[in-house]
Amino acid sequence: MLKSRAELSGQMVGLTLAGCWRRLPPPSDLNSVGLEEIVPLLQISGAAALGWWRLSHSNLAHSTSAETLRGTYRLNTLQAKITQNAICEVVDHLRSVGIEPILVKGWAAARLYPDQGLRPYGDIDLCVRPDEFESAGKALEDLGDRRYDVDLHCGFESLGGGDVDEVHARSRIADLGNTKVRLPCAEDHLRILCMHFLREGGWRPLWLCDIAAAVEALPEEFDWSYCLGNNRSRSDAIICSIAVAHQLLGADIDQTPAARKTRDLPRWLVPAILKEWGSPQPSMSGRHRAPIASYIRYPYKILRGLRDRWPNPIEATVGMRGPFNDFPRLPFQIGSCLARAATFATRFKQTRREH
Amino acid sequence: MLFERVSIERVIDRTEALVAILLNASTTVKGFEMRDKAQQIVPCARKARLVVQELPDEVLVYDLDRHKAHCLNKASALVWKHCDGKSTVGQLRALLEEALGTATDDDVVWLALGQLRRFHLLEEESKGFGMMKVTRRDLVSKYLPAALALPLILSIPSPAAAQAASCRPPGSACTANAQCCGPGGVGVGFCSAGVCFTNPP
Repeated sequence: MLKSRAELSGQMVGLTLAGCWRRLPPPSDLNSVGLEEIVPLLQISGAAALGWWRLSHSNLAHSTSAETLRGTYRLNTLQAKITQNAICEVVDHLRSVGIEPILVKGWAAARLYPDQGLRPYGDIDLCVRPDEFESAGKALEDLGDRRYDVDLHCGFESLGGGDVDEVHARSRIADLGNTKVRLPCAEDHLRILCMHFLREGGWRPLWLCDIAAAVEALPEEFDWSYCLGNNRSRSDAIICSIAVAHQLLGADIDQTPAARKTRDLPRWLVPAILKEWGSPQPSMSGRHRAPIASYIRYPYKILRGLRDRWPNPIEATVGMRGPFNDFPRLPFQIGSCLARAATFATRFKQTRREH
Repeated sequence: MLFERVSIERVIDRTEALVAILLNASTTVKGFEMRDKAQQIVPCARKARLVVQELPDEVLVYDLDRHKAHCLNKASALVWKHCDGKSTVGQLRALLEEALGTATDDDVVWLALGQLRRFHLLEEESKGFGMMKVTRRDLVSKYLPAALALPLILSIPSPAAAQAASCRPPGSACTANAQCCGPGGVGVGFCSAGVCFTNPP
């Protein structure tokens, strides 16, 4: 089947990032012309430093494109150090008021890469128990300007589920600078990464690299039944994302249940991801140009707004808790739009009443 | 007449002698200055409000006051590391020669010091420090085979990543407009319902 230009570019992004999470990435047969085309895509998606890591182990190590990507790696390295200090400060502060947060995504994913500048992370995702959510928010307010970019999560519902007590019981401690931070266990970590990647429509290749890095670092005693859980559609989604990490980035998944899935992926899944990776304006980023409420004041922009909000097949499937099979995705996309429109209408009514 | 002639000759002699003394004195002063520059104590490196990360071949520095990132190559980093307010330019030159494995002169150290000052990586008090102006271009031809090893500080361009450090990209959680990036990652965006947007309604 003929691929669109965006899909071809997306494929090139995948080839560039294949194995980039490893200490010694596989040899690359990329050429400088193709590389110049995808440098902006790597920068948009936050995978520029990973691109440089791969290229630094190839014959294009000293090309102009590689130097451009290296600049981002340098910035990421500095940013990582700044954010790590911020994480320590925030975690210590929450502990001082008796709240034990669990750090997810960001540094939790970046620590599995061979160099701290490879995986950028700007915000700090912290999960707290639902009964501590309000007091944690207040405690963060006390930090004033030093609140940093903390994204506080109430439990793990928004991150792919998991019983709060069990996630806490299974969590482990890791050293970060002069403090210790609590991280989810490998099973919860992988589930969170997979569900996050899919919920966001798979638009950032960086997130698939996170999955690949996590899968290749799984401990021997990894409990697949706990990771996948009892929910069929969710476990299918997790398996599909791991299989995609193998198909697009060459992740080693031989010892995982996803190994059987690689030849049986839904037809629409890989093209949808490649289209996002190869697009200079991924669908998710366009959605945040302006809030939907703004179109009430500027109705002539509504068509553009609706187009920006049309969910891609992956996002729609996860949003509607649909199965990852070969059936057409249009019903899920329409359903997702209607569900979001209903949510918007309800919120809009409430806001008008309050004012 | 005789008196006058003698007088003129004397004047000429004395003038010649004076000129000779002055010329000699000037050469001595110049030589003293050169020796002084080599013996001059280097200023202290700035430490406050900097985030420093050492990499195998370079040192990365982020200036928290100016929000600028810099990359120091091996030579610049070595000079910066030894800017302790005690070492002399000559001592730093010797250190550079050892580290780079090539003969250099004091100009290389002066070049590094000039760059460090320009990028605000020396203590503020160093502004009174008598800097000798040396440009990289001057030295490139002189040290052509080893030109790449000359001190160099790159200001790291910060398009997307730096914006992410100072403002939040669209879709991020927020509590105020000032936290969000504007269109193209430039300026201030719009915070609505706890989410960052690039364009205001």
